[in-house]
Amino acid sequence: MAEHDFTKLLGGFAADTLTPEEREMLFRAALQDQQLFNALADEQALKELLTDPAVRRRLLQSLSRQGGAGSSQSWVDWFARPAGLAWAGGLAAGVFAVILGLKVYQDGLHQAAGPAATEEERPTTQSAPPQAAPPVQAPLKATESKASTSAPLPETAAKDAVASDSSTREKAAASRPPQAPRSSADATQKRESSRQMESQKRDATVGALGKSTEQPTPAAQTPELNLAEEQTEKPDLSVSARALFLGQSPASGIASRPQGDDVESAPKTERFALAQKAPRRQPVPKPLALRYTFVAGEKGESPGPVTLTVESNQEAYLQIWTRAGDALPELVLPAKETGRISLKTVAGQRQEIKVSQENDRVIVRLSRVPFGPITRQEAVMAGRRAPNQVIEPASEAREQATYVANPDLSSVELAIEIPLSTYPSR
Amino acid sequence: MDRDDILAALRERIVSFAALRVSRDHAEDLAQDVLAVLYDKYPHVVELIELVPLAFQVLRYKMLDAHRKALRRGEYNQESVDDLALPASGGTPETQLDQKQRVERLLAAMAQLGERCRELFRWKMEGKSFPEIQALMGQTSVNTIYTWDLRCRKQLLSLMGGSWE
Repeated sequence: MAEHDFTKLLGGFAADTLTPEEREMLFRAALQDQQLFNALADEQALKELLTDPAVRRRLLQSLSRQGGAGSSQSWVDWFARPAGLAWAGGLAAGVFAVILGLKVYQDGLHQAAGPAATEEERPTTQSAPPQAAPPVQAPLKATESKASTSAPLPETAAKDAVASDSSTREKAAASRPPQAPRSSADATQKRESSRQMESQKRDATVGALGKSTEQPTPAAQTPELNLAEEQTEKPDLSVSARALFLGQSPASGIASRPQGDDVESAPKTERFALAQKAPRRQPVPKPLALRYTFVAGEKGESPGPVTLTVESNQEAYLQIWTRAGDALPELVLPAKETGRISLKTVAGQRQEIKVSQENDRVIVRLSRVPFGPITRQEAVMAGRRAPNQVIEPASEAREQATYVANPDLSSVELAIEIPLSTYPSR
Repeated sequence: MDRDDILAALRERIVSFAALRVSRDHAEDLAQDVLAVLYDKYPHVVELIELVPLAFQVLRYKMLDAHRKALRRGEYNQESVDDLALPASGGTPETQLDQKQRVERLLAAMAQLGERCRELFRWKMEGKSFPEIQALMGQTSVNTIYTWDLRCRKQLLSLMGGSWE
C-alpha cells in the first residue's frame, strides 16, 4: 500500500475495525509520517466517542432507522439534482406529448368517421322504405280507390317525390352532429325509437283521421302499422295538384273544409275523439295550392296584354312578379301604389292582373305568412319552385286552369315561374 | 522495532503534534509526561499495534489536563479560584454535556450522509473490518471501501464543522 493510502485506514482506526495487519501498517506509517500521526491523534477524539457502547448503540439505531427512510430521501435527493429534474421534466413533457397526440389522433378519427357514418347511414335509410313500403302502399291504394277525385299520378312525379323524400332524409342525417351516429346500427336504433315517439305523439291525429274515414283502428297496432300510418302523414305525392287545391288532404285523401270551419263542422264523435286523444291539437292545415289561368288580349293588339287570374285554396298572401329577358323582376301585385309587398287573399278569391307580353315570364308566390321585403335579385331566386311541388297543367278536357300545389304541409310558401311563351292567346 | 525505538519515534511525533497547539516548551513537557506514563504504568505494553494507540490516548488525556490546568490557573480568563467549582472524581457535568453535545452533532451529521456512507458507518459500528465490509457491500476490491470510507469521513467531518471535538 502506498504511503498516501494509509490515510484511508484512518476510518478503521476510529471505529476500531482495522485488522491486525492494517493496524500495524498504519501505526508504523504514522511513526514515520507526521501528518498521518497528526490525523490519528485528531481521530482519537472520535475513537474515544465511538468506544462508548451507549454512543455506539445510539448511532446504530439512528443509522438503522434512517435506512428505511433512506430510499424516499434518496428519491428526494435524486429529484433535487439538476439531472434528476431534467429527467423528470423530459418525462413529463413526453407523457404530455403522447396524451396530446392521442387526443389529436382521436379527434381526427372522429372527423373522419363522421362522413363515413353518414354515408353508412344512407344505404340503411334507403333500404328502410322497402321494409315499410308494403304497409305504406296498402292504405294509399285504399284511399286512392275511395277518393273519387283522385287523379292518376305520373310516374315521374312519384319518382321525384320519392327522391326528394330520400334527399330530405339525407340532408337531415347530414345535418346531425357527426358524433351522434357512431354506427349505422345505432343510427337505425335511434331512428326507430324517434319514430316510435313521433308515432305515439301523432297517434291522436292518426286515430282521428282513421275514425273520420270510418276505418276501425285495431286495438293492438303493430309497430309496422304505426310506421305505415306515420308514413301516410307525410306528403302524399300520389294526389294531384288539382285535388290538393280542391281540398283533398295529402294524408288520407279525405276532403277537408276551409280552415276556419274545421273544428266547428266536425262531427261530435270526431270531436269527442279529438278531445280524448288530443284536446288542444291544432287543426290540420291544408296544403298550399293555387290555380291560375291566362286570358290573352284581343286579336289585333300586338303585343296585347295577357290577363292572369290567380286563386288560392286558402287564406294566404300573394305576390306576382313579371320579368323581361335578363332584366330584374318587377313586382306587379300588389301594385306599387299600395305600398304593400303582400296581398292578402282568401280561398276562392280571384286576383286578376294584366301582364304585358313584353314580359316573357311571371313569378307567382303564395305564402301562409306575409312576405318580408326582398330585393329584386332575391326575387329571381324566389321564383324557383320547391322540389316536391306538384303542377297539373291545363287540360283541354276539363278547363284552362293550371293547378300548382305543395303537398308538404310544413311548407309555408309556394312559388312558380311561368313562361308566357307557353300560353299563346286563345 | 523494539519498544525503545517505538517510544523514541513517538516522542518526536508527539512533540511536533503538540507544538501545533501549544508552545514548544509545553509541547516537550507534554511529550515527556506521555512517555513517563508509558514507561511507568504500561511497561508490559511492547507491541507496536498496542503501544501507539495507547500513546494517542494518553496524549489526549494529557492535553485535556493541560487545558484544564490552564483554565484553572486563569491563563485564558482571569477569574478567582474560589469561583471555580471543584473537579469531580468521575465525569464532570461539563464533560458529560460536552460528550452529549458531540454525540448529538455526530448523529445529526450522520443523518445528512448518503445511503452508501450510512451503510458503511453502520457496518463499522457493528465492528466489521474493511474486508468484511467489502464482502457485505459486494465490492471486488477493498480499496473501493477504503476510498468510500475516506470520502464519507471527510463529508462527516465537514458536516460536524471540521473537528471531532
